[in-house]
Amino acid sequence: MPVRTRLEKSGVPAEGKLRADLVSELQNPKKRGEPDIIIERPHPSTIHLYVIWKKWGNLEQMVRSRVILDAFAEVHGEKKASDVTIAMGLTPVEADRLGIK
Amino acid sequence: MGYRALLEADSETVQDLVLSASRRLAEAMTLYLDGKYHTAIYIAGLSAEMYLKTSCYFVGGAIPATPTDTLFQQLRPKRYKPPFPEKFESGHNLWFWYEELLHRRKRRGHRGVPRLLRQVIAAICTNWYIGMRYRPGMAVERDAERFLSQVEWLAANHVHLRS
Repeated sequence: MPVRTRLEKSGVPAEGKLRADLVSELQNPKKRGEPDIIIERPHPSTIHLYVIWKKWGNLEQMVRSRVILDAFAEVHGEKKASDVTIAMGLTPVEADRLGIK
Repeated sequence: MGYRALLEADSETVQDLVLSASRRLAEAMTLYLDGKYHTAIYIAGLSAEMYLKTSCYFVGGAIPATPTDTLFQQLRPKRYKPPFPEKFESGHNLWFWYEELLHRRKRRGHRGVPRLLRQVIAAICTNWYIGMRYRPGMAVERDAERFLSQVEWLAANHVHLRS
């Protein structure tokens, strides 16, 4: 095995960058493209968030969820964020398999 | 990759249960409309179990991404002596989850649960148990219709149980 003197950069963006991009999208939603944010309200006090995004890559679901919840709380406040019972980050392939469109 | 491996690639989280509860209930309704009354009751009962479990977890401080494994394990009989007599029964005793929910809400200073909850849980437990999947089934339309309406009440009131 070769000995390297430098780390290779991961293809997955840092959590902070993902969160910042999500905050920006929540504040100024684009008409098309990703991240595709779905905010579902099955009840006035319940929020389901789905974010379909290629950038999730191989990030664990728990990390994705935390990024989404943090971004939502930053834009809408902690109180509103406590109404969120689903905060799922999905790649387009995963969303398709899960039937989220 | 097999389907099981695909499902188990990520840890089961509280939000998985929230979404599954809603999906199982919708699927139970489809089974009911298709005349599969026994299976409709069985699947809707699983949904009821998930609504109660997630209510307990949220009241306990969980967030959507919290893995359920630890939350579940800490309620097992060897690790937890509940202040009520209901048995854990591998996590399928809805009376256990009902009492645990009341206990957690009281301990954390939450307001009381809707009055009808006890009656709804009693109706669900009178008609559902986890072992019913091994029975061929002899439910009639009325059994399933009543049962599904009880679980629908639980779904509609989930917000009042978890917050």
